[in-house]
Parts: sequence; structure tokens; C-alpha cells
Amino acid sequence: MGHNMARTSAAETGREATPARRVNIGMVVLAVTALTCLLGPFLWHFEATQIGAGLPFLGPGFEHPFGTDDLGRDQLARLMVGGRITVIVAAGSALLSILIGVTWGVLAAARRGWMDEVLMRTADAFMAIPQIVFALVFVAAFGSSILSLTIIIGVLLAPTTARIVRSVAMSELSSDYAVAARACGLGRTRVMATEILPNVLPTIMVQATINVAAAIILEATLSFIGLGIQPPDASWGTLLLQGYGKFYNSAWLVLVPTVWIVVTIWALTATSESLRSRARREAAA
Amino acid sequence: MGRFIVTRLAWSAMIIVASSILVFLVLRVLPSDPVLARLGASTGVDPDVIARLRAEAGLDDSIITQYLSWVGGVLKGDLGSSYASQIPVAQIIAERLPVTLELTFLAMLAVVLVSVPLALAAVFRGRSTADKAIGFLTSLGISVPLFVVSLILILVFASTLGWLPSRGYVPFIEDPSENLKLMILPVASLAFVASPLLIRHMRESMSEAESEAYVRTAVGKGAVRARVLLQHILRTSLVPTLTMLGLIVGYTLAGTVVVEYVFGLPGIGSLALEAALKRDYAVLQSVVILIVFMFVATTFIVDIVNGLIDPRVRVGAQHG
Amino acid sequence: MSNSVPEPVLSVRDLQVSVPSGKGETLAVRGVDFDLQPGARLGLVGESGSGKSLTALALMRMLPPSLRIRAGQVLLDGRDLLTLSPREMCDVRGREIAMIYQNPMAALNPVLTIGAQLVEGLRIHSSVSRSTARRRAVELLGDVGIPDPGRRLDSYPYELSGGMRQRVVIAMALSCEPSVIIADEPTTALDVTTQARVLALLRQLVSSHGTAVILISHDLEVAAEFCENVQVMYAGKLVERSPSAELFAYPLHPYTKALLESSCVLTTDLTRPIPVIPGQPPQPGRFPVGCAFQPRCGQAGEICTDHDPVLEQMHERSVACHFPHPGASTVAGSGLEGGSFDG
Repeated sequence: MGHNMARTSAAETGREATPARRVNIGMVVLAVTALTCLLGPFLWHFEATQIGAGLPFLGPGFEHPFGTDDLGRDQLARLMVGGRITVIVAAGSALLSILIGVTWGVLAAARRGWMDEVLMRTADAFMAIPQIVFALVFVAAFGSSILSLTIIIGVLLAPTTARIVRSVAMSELSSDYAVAARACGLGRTRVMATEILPNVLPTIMVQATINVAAAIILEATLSFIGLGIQPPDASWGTLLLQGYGKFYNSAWLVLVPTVWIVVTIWALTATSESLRSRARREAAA
Repeated sequence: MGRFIVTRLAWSAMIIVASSILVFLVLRVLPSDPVLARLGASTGVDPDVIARLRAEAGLDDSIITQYLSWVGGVLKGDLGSSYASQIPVAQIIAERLPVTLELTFLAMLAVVLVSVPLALAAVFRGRSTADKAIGFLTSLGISVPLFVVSLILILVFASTLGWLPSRGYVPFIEDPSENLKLMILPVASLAFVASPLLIRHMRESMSEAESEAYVRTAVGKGAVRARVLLQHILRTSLVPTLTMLGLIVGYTLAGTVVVEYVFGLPGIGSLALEAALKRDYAVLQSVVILIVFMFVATTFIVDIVNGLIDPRVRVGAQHG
Repeated sequence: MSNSVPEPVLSVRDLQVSVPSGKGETLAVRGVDFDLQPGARLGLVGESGSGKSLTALALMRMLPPSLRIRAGQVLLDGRDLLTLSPREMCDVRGREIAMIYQNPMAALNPVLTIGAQLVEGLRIHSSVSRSTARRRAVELLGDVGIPDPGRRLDSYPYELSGGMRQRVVIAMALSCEPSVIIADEPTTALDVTTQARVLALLRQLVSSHGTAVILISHDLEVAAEFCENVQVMYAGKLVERSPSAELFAYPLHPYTKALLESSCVLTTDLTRPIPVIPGQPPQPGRFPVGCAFQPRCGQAGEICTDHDPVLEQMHERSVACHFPHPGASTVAGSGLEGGSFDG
């Protein structure tokens, strides 16, 4: 009835699309950090285990950009080597958590019924145990080698991921294109794989970044309280632990790892934010 | 409402049971042996002694039997004895629980007192400098791990400035002022890490509420900004805010592990850590389940309160 | 017709609203003028992008943060609302001018009872006690035809149907006896039967209270039925204003005519293609030079691209066009001359 004119346009309500930035500063920082830690030890002329590379407790200087510790070891070298382990554990566990979490969530979303219930109740049971506390349990049971830490953290981060993936998958499943695909006779798995997963991908990427940050925090915390990386291996957490003990001699031993950890986590958070707003924008389009 | 309470109660109980099974499984399905850990050596011990101790600890029974006997014990108030010290677990926990309760309570108080005004200030005049500043601070706050915050606070306020003690605990009954003084830094650490979460969450849900039609209706009625903010925006954000608060209690409980360790507080967080280090499963198990219980109980209370505030919570679907 | 016209209760002069655009700001409402007589019902019709909703929000000074009123006067009972402080404006809103919204589902706060919301509206503007306010709220609910109003006071919005919720919104708008009510698409979200009922209710209430109404709609028919006069808005400007019957029978502006022709009624011949207006309405920032409708107009002449026509009054009707519809001139006794008009 009547010439039906559409709803108020974006112009009418004054909403203005902000231009998207493909790469933000957080991502740059991340890339630089990761590259430095992974490749740096090969290129830098000091060894992390080289005792007496310089005088002990040196502050930042030309020879040793981040100073030296109580045994005269070059801090930059230690940070890079420690960073390597942190990066490996964090990336590995994040990857594991995504693999487990996505399978878990997608399975629950696809199968519905009692399997969904069981899977989600299990997730609830996991999430009722605060992460660090559960980490204590796992480490007490399985020890704290690099491998077991990676697996433990991966498992700890999986339930939250699963919940998020499930919720996105379910809302995608009920959207028109998925219903149409099913109406065409495509099997549930096929629909899931080809139609839905691509649309869940942005969420997964956001969650992956968040998980990496969470993994770094978990690993560093565990290392700091003595349940994480054990000497002689080092991670940023253990460096902080050692630095804390030697604070009176040189504040730099605490300051430098702190800044590195905080900057990395901040970069990850910033990246996840920009990924999230990009995902939101694409979804609205 | 009554039916709602019963449903939530049943669900909470189920979660606690499921979590306890999970923990039990992890600790039982493991490579290292608690008895050996207790004995402190892995070689050179008489196998008969080992066998006897294992039988005593019930480690020879099937997992299900072990679990059921443990549950039976819990219901009677008997949590077994510490593998390390032989002291009844229940006793150890009873001694150390008040410390954690005090710490958690003060921390949550601090979080609420800090977060609510800041979140309101951020939303009061949308996109103001206050908003941006608070946004930046919360970004920063989220990026710093708890133990780093604790370290920094100690290094600044205890080591360098010497204003506050860095470690130790005195029960409140003995010396209230000293007790509180010793609590300041631990509480500050927890609050520093938890507040950004709450502020962000509140800010987001209030910003969303801002663009809702009923806010426009309120403005159209002539309500001033303060009323709109409190009566409408905050009110409808209350439910997600309280839910978040419940989650933060969980994070804080986890945080007590770190904070109690760093600040030398004899609470159950540090107890859990010690038990993990010593592989004292009897203690670890019970402490973890206790923490789960406290977390789930908090969530339960939050759910009930939410049901009272928002009628849709009572009526709508329970768990997604 | 008469020359001693009473003072309009609302007088809008040259209202301009800007919206953010790619290169800064651009006008979405480009100079709107109209008067609203006490107790009159005026329609404002237009499609999306025409600026009608923005005009309504501008009158209440409730525009979203990035939009600004660039110029104009809004005289309510002689007072220019645009010069008031925010606090003063809060006093005016609800008490002297009130609004009814498009989506009754969302317009009520879901966690407050409707009684609480009605009482709030009353107590913002007067210092009555809560019990007095409650009693008044019950009366109001009865006025809008809600059954069992005493008990309904303590219901939550989700317990009511869409039509009932809209009645509550109307009750809230009327609660402080404002002189003007702006109804922004009040029935769009309702089904047709409820639509008719709510409009009938609104009509009865405003005439008994003597409230003037501005009805905003995209639906010409609804506006024409409810209102005594209708104005049509296109691309941020008013292009025609007429008493409803005449607007329908003899539209002056080509846009109005095209709108009417493109709508379907029971008697429309469905064997032939329904005429549509070619093209799209322009968005703010991309309004054509000269007459904004000219690219889509079947009667456009050269002058239309050069000069934007001004709203000119002809007896009771106004139109902004260089070539108002010739059909209007053949109505006997309308007093309108034939031929074309120069801008």
C-alpha cells in the first residue's frame, strides 16, 4: 500500500563508515618481535649462555643494548632465546587450542541434540576451574617440559574457543544461505565445511590472537611461580623471576623483560581488536 | 522465580560434580606416582613399603571406587590427609581459607569502587577525552600480567619508596591495621588487573544500550543525562555487568595463587601452589574443588540476582 | 481562507541539519519552513534519505552526536527551542513537545514496569507524589484503551503486544499534556488492523486534548487519512504542501504525482506495468544542482537544472516546482491559474 519507501538510510542516521586499515601498528610490532626472537639468536654475536660476555649488571649500552645480568650474560641474547621459547609455546598452544576448540565447537553446533549438550557441559566443567588453578593440576600431573606446557595451555584455552566457535557456527547455521544450502540437499558436514567455516574464519582469527596473548600470560606466570619452563631453559617469565631476585643490583633486569612482555601482549590485543572490527564490518556488509 | 532458582541450583551442583571428576581424572591418570613423591625419592625404596602405602592411599582401587570414596569423605567432612605432612586436609584448608576470603573480598570491593565510577565517567559524555583516556588505560591494564603488576608494585612501593611492606600476613583479629596495611599491595595488584575487564565490559554494554530506542524515549520525556545514564543505561547493563563481576571473582580466585605466592600470604591460593610443587594430590584435589565451589556459588548468586532484576532472565532460556 | 489566522503553536523557519560526509559535513535538511496551528494535524511524508526523520529529531533537539543543526528557528509558543540550554530543553521535552516512536517493541525499557516508566514521565516534570502519579498513570492507560489498567501498571513491556505497547508510548507522550506531539512512523511496525486502531485512538485523543500533531510517514495514504494537511519532502526540502484531499486528487509536484501513480489500490489495473519512478532518491552530499528531483522528473525543463525552485504559496497550497502539474489548473473553482510557473 502506498509507495513504500525503505527504512532510514545510514545518511539519515548519520553513521559514517570509518576507513579500514589493513595492517595496524600492533601487527607490525608482533612481526618484528617474532622475527627478532626466532632469527635473532643466529645473527647476534653474543650467546645467551655466554657467561662473562660483559661485566655483570651493565645497563643498556652500545655493546649490550639491554645490559647484562649477574653472570655477565648479554640480556638481548637471553631475551631473544627466551622469547623463542615463549613464542613457540604461545604459538603452539594457541594453534592447538584453535584446532581442538574449532572441532569441539563445530561438532556441537552441527550435531545438536545430546552431543551438543554433552560437549558443552564438558566445556562448562572445564571453565568452572579457573585457568591457573587448572594449570597447577595439569603441571602437577604431567610435569613442565616445553612439550607438556604447550599441550596443557592449548587444552586450557580450548573450551572458551569452543564456546565462541559454537555460538558463531550456530548463528551462521540458521542464516538464510545455510538453510538454502541444506534445502538443496547438501549434507550437514558439506554445508559446514564449505559454507559456514569460511564465515566463521574471521572469528577464529580474532580468537587465535587472543589465545596467543593468553598463552603468553599463562606461560610467563607459570614460569614465574616455578611451575613453568625450568632452567637451564629460559622464557620471559623465568627471566623476570631471576631479574626480580637481582633487582637491587640492576633494575634493568626486571624492566626489560617487563616491557617486552607488556608490549607484545598489547600488540596482540590491538591486533585482535582491529581483526574484530574488521570482522564486524565484513559481517555487516 | 522459585522454579528458576531450583534449575540454577541443579545446574550449579552438576557443574561442581563434573569439575571434580575432571580434576580427579587428571590427577589419577598421570605418569608420576604420588606415593613416590611423598617418599621423596624414586629409587632405592623397598617395593613392599611402596605397595603398602599405595594400598593405604587407596591407589590400587579402580578410579571409580577412588572417586566415590573421596566423595563420601567430602560429604562427611573428611578430605583425607596431606601426602606430605599427614595433617588432615580439612584442617589445613580451614586455617588458610580466611586469608583468601579476606583478600578476595577486599579485591572485589576495590574493583567495584574503581570500575563503576570510571565506566560511568567514560560514558557520561560520549567520545570525550575522559572516554579516550580511560580506554587507553584499560588497554594497558589488560596487557600486563598479574605477577608483573605485583612485582612492579613491590618494587616501587616497598623496595624503592619503602611505604608499604612487601610480604607477610597478620590475622585481622590480632592487628587490624597491620593486617590491612599488608593487604594493600596484594589487593591493589588484583584490582589493577581485574578493573580494566569490568570497565571495558560496562563501557561496551552501556554504549550499546545508549543506542537503544528506549534511551531515546527517556530523553524524549525530558530526562536529564544523569537520570538517563543511571535509570536506563546502567540499569539495563546491570545484568551483563553482574555476570562479568561473577567471572571476575573467578579470575580473582585464580589470581590469589600468584598474589599469595608473591606477597607471602598463607591462603589457599598459595596452598594450591605448594601442593602442586610437592605433588601432594590429596591437598591439591580438595583445594581446587573448593575454589571451583566458590566460583560456581558466586555465579549462582549472580544468576539469582539477575533473575530478580531482569524479568527476561527468569523467563528466557537458561544456557546457550 | 480566512485572514485572521491564530498564532501557530510551532513555527519552523529555515531549518538546516548537517550530517558527516566524506569531506566534512553536508546538509541533509536544507531549509524547511512550516507552521503548525494549535490542534492541527500535519503530515510530513518522504522516502528514506528525504530528511523527514532528521527534521523530527531536530525539532526535539535529539539528533545523534555527529549531526548538527546548522541554521534555523524552531518557535514553540514563541520561544526558539534552538537557543535553549540543554537543561531548559530537557524541561521542554515531554512537557511541551513530545514524541511517539516508530518501534514500540524497542521504545520501552525492558527492565522497568510500564507503570514505572509512566510515573517517571510524570515526575520529571512535576513534583507529584508517587501515589498520585500512579493514579494518573492508571487513568492514562485507561484513556488509551488498555484493559485492566490497574494491574497492567506492574507489567513489563515484554508481556504486552505491539499494539498495546504503542498505546503505552502514546500514553507517555500525552501524560504531561504537551501542545505538540511528533509521531514518527507510529504504525509502521504494526500490522494493518492494529495500525488503523492505533491511529483512530491517536486521532481521538489529540482532538480531545487539543494537541497538535506532526505525523511523519513514508506512507502517503496513512498520512492523508490522518492529517488535515500533508507536506512532501524530497532531498532535504519541502516540495509540496496541501490539504490532504487536494494532494490526493490534484497533486501539484511531479514527485507527488509519481508517488501516487506508483502506488497500488484495489482499483489499479494490474495487467499493465505499474509505473515506477526511475532512478534513486539522492543521498545527502550528492544532491543534484538545481532542482533535486530533476534527474527523475518527466517534466523537467532547462530551467530545472539551473534554478532550484522555491516553495511558493498559492492559496492554501504550496509547491516548489517550475512546472507544477498542469492537471491542477483544470479544477474549477480552485482559483489556480493555468500555464507554467517560472521559478
